[in-house]
Amino acid sequence: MPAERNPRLARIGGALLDLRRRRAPITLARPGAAALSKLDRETVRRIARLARIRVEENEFEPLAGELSKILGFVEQLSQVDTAAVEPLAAINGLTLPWREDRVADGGKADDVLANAPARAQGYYAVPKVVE
Amino acid sequence: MTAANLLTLAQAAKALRARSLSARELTRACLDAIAKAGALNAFVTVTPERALADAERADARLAKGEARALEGIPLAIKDLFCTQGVKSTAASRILGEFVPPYESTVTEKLWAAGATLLGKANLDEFAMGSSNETSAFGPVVNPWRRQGDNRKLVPGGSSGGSAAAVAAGLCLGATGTDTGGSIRQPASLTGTVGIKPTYGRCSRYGIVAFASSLDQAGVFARDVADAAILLRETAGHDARDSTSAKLPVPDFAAAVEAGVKGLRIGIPKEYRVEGMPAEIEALWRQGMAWLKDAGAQAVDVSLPHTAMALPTYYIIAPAEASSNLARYDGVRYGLRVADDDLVTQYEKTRAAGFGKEVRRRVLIGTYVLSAGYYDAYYLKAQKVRALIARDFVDAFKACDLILAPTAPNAAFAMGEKADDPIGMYLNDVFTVPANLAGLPGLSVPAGLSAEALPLGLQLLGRPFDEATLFAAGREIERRAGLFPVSDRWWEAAP
Repeated sequence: MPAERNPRLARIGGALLDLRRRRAPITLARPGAAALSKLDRETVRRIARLARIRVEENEFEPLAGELSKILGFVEQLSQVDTAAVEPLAAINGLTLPWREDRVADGGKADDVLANAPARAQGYYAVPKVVE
Repeated sequence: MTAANLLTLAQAAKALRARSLSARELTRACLDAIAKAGALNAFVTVTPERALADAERADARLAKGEARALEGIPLAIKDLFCTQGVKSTAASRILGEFVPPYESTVTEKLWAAGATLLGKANLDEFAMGSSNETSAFGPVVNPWRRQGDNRKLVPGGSSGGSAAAVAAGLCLGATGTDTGGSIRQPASLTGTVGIKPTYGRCSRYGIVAFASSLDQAGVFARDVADAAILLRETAGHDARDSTSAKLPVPDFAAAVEAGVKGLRIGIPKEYRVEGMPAEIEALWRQGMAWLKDAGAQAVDVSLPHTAMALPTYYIIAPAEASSNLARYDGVRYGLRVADDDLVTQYEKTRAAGFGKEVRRRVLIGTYVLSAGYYDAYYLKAQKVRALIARDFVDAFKACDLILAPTAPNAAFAMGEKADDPIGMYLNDVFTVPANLAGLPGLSVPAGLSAEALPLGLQLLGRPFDEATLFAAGREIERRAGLFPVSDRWWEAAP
C-alpha cells in the first residue's frame, strides 16, 4: 500500500500536530522529560565491558545519570508511529557497486605495520591469549 | 593593498597567474599569520617545510604557464583527513602519533590541482562536538569577539580549526567534514562560507570515520565563489569509497552567477522553533526578502518530522561511531596501554585514548545496538529517518531550495555548554536533517547579531544540486556583503 494512502501514516501528521500544540516538539531549552529507561550502574558496567572501555568505580554513578538523560532525549521517537515504515537502508537511492573479486593492491606489509605499537617478525604482537 | 593571506582564493589565483605575487610569498604570508595566531589554537600540526616545498613547485609551474586550478593556493586540512607522512590525529589521544602511510582522496585531489598544505586543522575529537572544546589538543578560539567583551568564544564544531583559520586569514580555504552540521554550524559562527555537499559527492576514503552513513567532506572559504572552486576540485567518484556517487561533477564555479530568477524557495514552518532568538528569525526573513529581490518566490513547505531529527541522529550517529571506533584497540595502530591480559589492554587503551564525549557516545552507541535494544532504538531510528528523508522528497515537489537559519544562536562563550551534552546537541537542530536525508547544505554569512557576531543562513537543495545552492548563496552574499574579522586581537595576545 502506498504510504500516502496509509491511514496510519495520515494519523502521524495529526498526532504530531497535536503534540506541537501541547508540548513544543523542539524547544531550545534543555528537555525536562524524565528518562523512560533509567540506566543503573550495573547496566553501565555491562555496556562499558561490551565497549571495551575501562570505567573507574567512582564514574559509574555520574555516567549512569548522563547516559540516562541522553536516552530520555532520544526516546521521544517512541511517539512516532512507524508501523508501516521500512527502515532507511540507502540514501539518495545509491546502490552499492559490484566489482571483480581481484587483488588490486598489496605487498605493503611494512606500510601496514608502520604504526603498530608492537610487532614481531612481520606480525602485530599482542599479549599471549592462548596457553 | 590587501595582505596576501587575506585575498580570496580567486583573487590570489589571478595574482599568481599574473606573476604579481609568487606562491612562495603567499605561503610565507599565511605561515607568518599562523605563527602569530597561536592564541586561536586553530592547528594541531603546522607543516612549514612541506608548505614552502609545495609553493616552490607551484612557482615553477606558474613560471612555465602550466598552472592547475589551485596552483600555489595554501590550504588548511581538517585533521580528520589522512595525509601521507603527516601526522593525522582526529584530535584524539588515541591517534596522537598516527602518521598515515596513505593519502585521503579529497586531499590527493587538492594536491593534484596544485594546492599547498599549510597544516592540519584542529577539531572536536573524532569530529564529535559543536564547539571544538572536545579536542585532545585544546579548544579552538573564535577570531570573533563580542562587542566590548573580551571573553573567548567557541568557533563552533566540529570543524572549528578549519573555520577559524579561514576567518582569521591563516589560509585561503580549508577542508571540513559534516556529520550533523560540523561544516555549516562553524561557518555560521565564524562568518565564513561552508558547504556540505550531497552524501556521495566527495569520497570518504582516507577520512577517519565517525558515522559512515552521515559523514561527508566539504569545504570552507571566505566567499561563495571560492567555496564553489574548492568543492569542484574535491568532488567526484572514487572506486575506493563504495558510497561515492558515479556522477559527473558540474563546474560549480560557473554556476555561482546563475541567479535565482523563477526559483521557488521553501520556508519550512517547523523550523520556527520555540525559543529561537528574534534576531535569527529577522535574519531569516531578511534572507527571503533578498532572494525575492533577486527574482525568486517564497513558498511555505512542511517538514513534519523535523522535531524528530535530533533524537534520530543521537541514536544513529553514536551507534555507527561505536562500531567505527571499535578499530582503536591498541593492536594495529595508535595508542597502547600495555597489560598482560589482552582484554584488559583493550580496556585500558580505550579508557586512556578516548575523551569524555567520545566515551559517552561509544557507550550510548553500544547500548542502543546491544541485544534486546536494537529494535527499540536503532531500527526505530532508521524508520524515522526514512520519514525525515521522505519529508524532504515531498517538500522538493513544491520548491527548488529550502532556506533556514544555520544555527539557533551566534558563537557562545567557551565552557558555556561544556557540561550540558543535550544543550550542546541542540546547536545542530537545523543542520542535522540534511545529514539524515543525505542532502547538500550551504551556510552563507548573512548578518551580525546584536553583539556584532556573524550569523549564517542555510540553503538546502535536492540531491546533487549543489550548483543551485551556490547560485542562491551568491545572491544572499551580494546583498549581505562579506564579514571579515576587523580586530586581529589575537596577534597582540601573549
